[in-house]
Amino acid sequence: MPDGSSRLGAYKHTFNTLARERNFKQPSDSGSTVPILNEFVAPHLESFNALFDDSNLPPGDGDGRGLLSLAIKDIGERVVFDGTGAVPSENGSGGWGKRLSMWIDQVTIARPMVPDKDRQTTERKVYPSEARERLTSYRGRMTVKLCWKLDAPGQPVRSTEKDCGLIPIMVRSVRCNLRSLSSSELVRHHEEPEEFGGYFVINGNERLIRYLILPRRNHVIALNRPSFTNRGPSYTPYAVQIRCVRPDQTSITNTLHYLSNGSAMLRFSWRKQEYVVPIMLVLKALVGASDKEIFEGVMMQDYDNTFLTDRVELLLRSYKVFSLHTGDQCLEYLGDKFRVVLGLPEDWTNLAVGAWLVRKLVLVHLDNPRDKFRMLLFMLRKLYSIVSKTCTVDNPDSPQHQEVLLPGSLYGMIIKEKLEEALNQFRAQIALDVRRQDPSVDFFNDQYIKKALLRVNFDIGARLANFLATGNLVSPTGLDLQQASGFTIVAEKLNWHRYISHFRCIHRGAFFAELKTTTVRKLLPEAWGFLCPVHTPDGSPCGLLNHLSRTCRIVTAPLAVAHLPALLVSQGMTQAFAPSVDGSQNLCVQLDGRVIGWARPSVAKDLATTLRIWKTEAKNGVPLDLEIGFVPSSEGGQYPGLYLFASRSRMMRPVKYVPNGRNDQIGSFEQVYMDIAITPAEIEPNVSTHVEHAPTNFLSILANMTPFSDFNQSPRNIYQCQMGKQTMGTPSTALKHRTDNKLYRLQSGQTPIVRPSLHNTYGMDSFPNGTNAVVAVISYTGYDMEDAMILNKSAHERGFGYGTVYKSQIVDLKEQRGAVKSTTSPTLHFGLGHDIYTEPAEKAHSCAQFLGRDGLPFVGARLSPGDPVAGYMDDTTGRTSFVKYKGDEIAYIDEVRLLGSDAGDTELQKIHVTLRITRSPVIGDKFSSRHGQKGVCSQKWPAVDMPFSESGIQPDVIINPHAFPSRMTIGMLVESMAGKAGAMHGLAQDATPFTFSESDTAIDYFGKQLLAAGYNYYGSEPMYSGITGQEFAADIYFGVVYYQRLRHMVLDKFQVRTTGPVDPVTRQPVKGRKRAGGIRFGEMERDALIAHGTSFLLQDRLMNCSDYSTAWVCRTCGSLISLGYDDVSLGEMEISASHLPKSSGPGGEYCRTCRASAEEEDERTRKALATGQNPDRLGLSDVRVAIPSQHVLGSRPKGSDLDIVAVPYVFRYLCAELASMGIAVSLEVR
Amino acid sequence: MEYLCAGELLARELGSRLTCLGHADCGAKNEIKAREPIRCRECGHRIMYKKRTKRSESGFLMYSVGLSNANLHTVVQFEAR
Repeated sequence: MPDGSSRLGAYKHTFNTLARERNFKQPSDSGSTVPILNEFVAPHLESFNALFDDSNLPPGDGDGRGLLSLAIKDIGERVVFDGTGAVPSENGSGGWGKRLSMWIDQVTIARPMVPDKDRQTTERKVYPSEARERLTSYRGRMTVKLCWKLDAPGQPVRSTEKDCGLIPIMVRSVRCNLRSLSSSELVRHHEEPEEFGGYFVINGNERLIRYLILPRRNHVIALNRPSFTNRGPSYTPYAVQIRCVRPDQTSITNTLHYLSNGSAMLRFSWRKQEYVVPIMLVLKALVGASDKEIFEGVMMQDYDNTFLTDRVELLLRSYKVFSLHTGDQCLEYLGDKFRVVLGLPEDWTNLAVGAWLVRKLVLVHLDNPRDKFRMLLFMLRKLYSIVSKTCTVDNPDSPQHQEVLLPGSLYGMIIKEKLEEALNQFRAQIALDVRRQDPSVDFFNDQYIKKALLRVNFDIGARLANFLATGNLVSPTGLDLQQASGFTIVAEKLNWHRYISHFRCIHRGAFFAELKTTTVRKLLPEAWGFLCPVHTPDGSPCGLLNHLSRTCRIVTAPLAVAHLPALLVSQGMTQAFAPSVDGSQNLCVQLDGRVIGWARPSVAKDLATTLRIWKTEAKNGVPLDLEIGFVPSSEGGQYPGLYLFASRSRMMRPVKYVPNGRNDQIGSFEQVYMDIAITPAEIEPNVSTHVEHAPTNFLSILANMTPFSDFNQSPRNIYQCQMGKQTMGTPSTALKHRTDNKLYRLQSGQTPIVRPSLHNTYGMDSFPNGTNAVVAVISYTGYDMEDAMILNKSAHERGFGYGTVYKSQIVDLKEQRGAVKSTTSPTLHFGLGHDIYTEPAEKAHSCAQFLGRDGLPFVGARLSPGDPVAGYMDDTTGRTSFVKYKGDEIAYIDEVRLLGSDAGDTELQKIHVTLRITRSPVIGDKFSSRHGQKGVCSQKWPAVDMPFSESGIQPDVIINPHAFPSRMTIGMLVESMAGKAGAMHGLAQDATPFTFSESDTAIDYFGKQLLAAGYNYYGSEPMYSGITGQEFAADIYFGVVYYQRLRHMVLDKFQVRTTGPVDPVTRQPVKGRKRAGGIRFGEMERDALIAHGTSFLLQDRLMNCSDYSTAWVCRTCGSLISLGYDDVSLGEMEISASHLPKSSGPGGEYCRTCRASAEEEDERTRKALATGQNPDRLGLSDVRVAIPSQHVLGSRPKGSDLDIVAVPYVFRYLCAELASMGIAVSLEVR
Repeated sequence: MEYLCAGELLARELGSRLTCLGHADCGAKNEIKAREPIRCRECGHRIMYKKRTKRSESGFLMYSVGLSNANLHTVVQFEAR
C-alpha cells in the first residue's frame, strides 16, 4: 500500500476519527476545540473591545483608554448662558449672564443582565442563547455620567448618572457573558463548541456589521477626476486627498484642489455641508507663516523648477487680495465666517472660533499646528507634482490605498455621535428656556437642570438596535462615509461555509454598486494575498463583495511607535524641522501622515531595510505590524517617499522574510514594492525579499476547501465558492437552541475522503456539507443530458442526500386581531375556551388532534396546510380563535417554546414553534460536486438496472461525460481517483492545491494507489449493463466524489396552474408562485408563436386560458359598453314613452345609446308632424303616417341589433376606462 | 399544564439536584396554569418547552373524569417518523 509519507510529511492520511469523536463528546475544558476560528473573527471582536477602557488590547502610544473615552473627550463641553446677549445695562443685567458648561464625563456599558425587577432568577447573567430563543436582543445597559458646572469661581462640578437604554452587545466581546469561555462551557450555555461570536443578536436574528473598504487613513493620495471641474470656475481635475482619522477612529476628509490660476483650495465638510478655503489662509492661520516661509516650504531649494516657482508665486500673489497678514488675522477671519455654522459658545472670540476650526477640521490626525503646516506643504508639493506630471495619480480602487472600516469603529462612531447629539439637545433645551424667559431657569438649582435633562432623549440603545436591525445610518454628519445604508447583514446559518464567509466578507461600498464603469470591480494584482481572487459572487455584486484571504489580518491594536522618529534620526534621517532640505534630492519620511523627516533615496532605502530587520527580529521596539512603505524615486511613477503606517484597520498578512528567515507581516501598501516569491524554489537571489508561507495563502477559507482547485478552470472554482454556500449541510450543532427562520439540514453528512489539509484546521468535520458518492461518468440512461444526473434509487433509500428544513412560526398574541395595546393585562390568552370540546373523542373539535387545552400544539403533531398551530381565547368576545399553519407542505411540530418577558413577570403572549419539514431528494433537486459541476436529479434509477463493476459496485450517481470537455474541471477527475483510492485504502486524501508538479503528477500518485488496490491505473473500470448484463465496449471512469445537495429544491420552485386566482380588475391570471399564479406569456413568446403560425395555441394561451369573455356589441354604433336589458321573461313588452313597444333582442337586450337616439328621433319626427313642419328625413317627407321602425321590414329595429363577440375582458375594461375619459370605442362587427 | 424549563443551572446547584449528570440544563418540570407568568420556579428562567407527551395534563384529567382508567393512562406518543 503506498503511504503518503513521500509527499507532505505534515499531512496525516487519517480521518482522526477517535480524536474527533472525543471532541464531540467532551469538548475542551480549557480552550477552544478549533482555535483558529477565534482568530479569524478577531477584527470584529477586538474592534468592539477597543471601545472600552478594559479592552485588554495593548495600549500602544496612548494610555490604553477605549474609543468611547476618547470620543467623549473629543466631544468636549457645551456652554449655555442665562442671558440673552443684549448690551449690558447699568445695573449689570443683560449681557451673556451666567455661564453653564456641561460635558459627559464617563460612559459605561454593562454586561447583559436580568433586570433588577426580577428577584427570583438564580442566574443573573443573560446569555446570547436566551436572546436567540426568546427572539429578543442581546443588550447591556449603558449609562453616562453627565457633569455640569457654573463657570464661576468656587462653583462645584455637579453630576448625574443618566440611563442611555440597552445597547446591543457583540457576542463573545469583552462585554459579553460568553467572553473567553471554553468549548465545554459554551456547550453548557447552549452554544456550539466552535462558537466564535463577532455578531449581535437583534430580535433573535444574528446580525453583523460588514467590513467596508475605506480610503487609507492619514495618507495623501493624488486624484485626477474630471468631475472636479464642475465645482466652479477655474477648478481643474487635479486634487490631493487625505482621510484624517482622530484617535477615536472618527474621520474627516480634506481635499486640496488645484485651480487653473496656480493656487489651491482646501475642501472639508462639516455636517454634510462642504466648505472651501484658500490654502494660504489655512497655512497662515496654522503657524502664522510668512510668505517667505511658505515659499521656501513648498520650493524646498528647487529654484530651477520654474513650474513650481511660477505656481508658488501665483499662490502668494493671489492671496494678497485678502490683505490678511498675520496668523491671528487669518484665524479671526475664519472665525468670523464660520461662527454661524459651528455653534460654539457665544462668548468665544473670532480668534478662538478660528483656532477651533483649524484644530477640529483640518488634518485632524495631527495635534500640533506645525505638523499640520508641514503636512499641508507636502500635500501642496504632491499636488504640483501631479499637475506637472512628474508623478502619477494614485488608484483609489487599489488595495494599496485602502483600509477597512471595522465594525467596532463604526459602532463607536455612532455612539459618539448620539452622545454628542444628546449633549447638544441638553444645551438646546436650556437655551430654549432662556430664550423663552422661562421663570424656572435657575442655573444654581439642580432640580431645574435635572428637569431640563428629563426632556432630552437619551435612548441611545434604541438607535443602535435600529441601526443594527436595518443597517441604516441616521446621522447628521454622515460620519465621513459614502453610504447611509447597507452596513449590516444577517449572518445566515444556512450552512457552516456560508456562516463563516459572512465574517470574512468585505464590501467596496454601496456607492460603487451603482457605478456604470467596471473599473472598481477589477481584480488588481495589488489585492494578492489580501482579497481572495476566487471567492466573489458572480452577478451584480461581482468584484465589489470580496472575501479576505485566509491569512489576511486586520490590525486592531494600536502600536507603540512614538520612539520611531528618534530611532530613524539615529540612522541618518534628517529631522523634519531642518531649515534647508533640498526637496529634489530628498524623500519625505512620514509616520501615520506626519512628516517626521527627510532622507536621500539611498538612505531612505536603507532605513526601510533596517526597520524591516528590526521589526522581524523584534529589536529596538519596532512593532511587527508596522508597515514600511518605501516608494522609490521613478520617472513619472508614484510620488516617492518612505511612508510608515502604524495605525489600526490596515490589512496585513504574514510572509517569510528571506534574509533572516523570520516571519514578517506585510501590508497592502508596502507589498506593491516588494518581491515576494510564491514557493522557496522561486526565490531569486538578491531580488526576492520575501517568500509565502504557503502557496494557498492567497485563497479565502472557502476557496481553500475546494479540492485540487489548481486543476480546474478558474471560473469553476468561483462557482464552487458560490455553491458551497448554498449547500444543504450542517448549519449548527446546537440546533435545538436555534430559532432561525429557515434552516437546512443534511441528515446523512459525511466527512469528505478527499479534502485539503485546511479542512481539519478549520474543524469542518463538525459541520459536514455533503456525502461521498460513488460516481460513474457514463452516458447510460439518456436521462442525464444537459447536466442532469441519475440517482441510484437504493442509494436514495439508504439516505443519500436526505435533508430536513426547519422553519419557524411565531405566534405573538400582541399582534393578533383583537389584541388591546397599552393595557397592562392582555385580553388574549393562549388556551382553548369552553366553546371548544376536546372530550369525548366523538364530540371533540377538529383542533383537538393538534392542540392541547393550553392552546399550544402537541410536539410531534403532523400539520397539513391550514391546520391550527395555536388557539387563543379572547376575553371580550369569549370565543376561541386559531392561528393556522400557512405553509403548503406537510410539517411536523419539532419544538414549542413558551417565551416569557424580560423580567419573567408576564403571562404567555408569545410562542415560537419550530416546524420540521422532511425533504427527501426528489426528481428536480439540485446536486453538485465541489468543482462547480452542478446538476439536477432527473431519475431515481432502480438499483437492478444500474450498471455495475466487476466487483459488483453500483454507482450512487451517474453523470454525463459531456460535463467535462468544455468545463475542464480536471480537479473533479482527480478527486474521483483520489476518492476511490482513499476509500479502498482507508486514507484521508490530501487535496491541497499546488502540491503536485509536472514531475510529480497527481495522476501518477493516485494511479499507483489504485493499482495497489487492484484497480486500473487511470481510474476506469470495465462495467456491465444493469439491464442486459453485457459488458460495455468502453471502460467507465468510476470513482468516489464528494457530492453536495444544494438548497434549491423543486418543491420550493415548481409552479403549475390550469385555472386559479385572477386579478379582479383585468380578470387575467395573477403572477407569483405563492399565489398559485401563472407564468407570464410575454410579447416575445407571442412573437414566437406567431412566427410558427400556431394560431390555435396562441388563441388558447392568450385568450382561453387568460381573460376570455363574451360581450354584447351593438352592430349599429359599435359600442361594447351600452348594453341594457328589458325584462322579457314574462313575455311582456315594455312600452316606451311614445306608447310603442320598445325594440330589443331575443333576451331583451338592447343598446342604450342607439335606442335613446332612435327615441329621440321618433320624438322629433312626431313633433315635426304635430307642428306641420317638414321632418328632416327625405324619404318620409311625403308620408303622413309614422310607422314605428320595428314594423318596417328589412331593417332591424334601432338599438336591438346586438351581437355577442368574444373579447379579452381587459379590452372591455379598457373601453370603460376610455369612456370615462370621453373617448368612445367603436367596434366594426362583420 | 406542565412544561420543561429551558434554562441552565448554576454549577453550584448541580450537586443537590437530580438532573442528568454532566448536563447542566435545569429542565425542571413547571406546572404553569393559564395566565400565570412564564418563569421557572427553580431557576427563574423565562423560556419553557412544551413536553412531548399528552399525558398528565391536569386540564385533561378534569375532563376525563368518569372515563375508563385505561383511557387515562394510554400514552399518546407520536410515533417516530
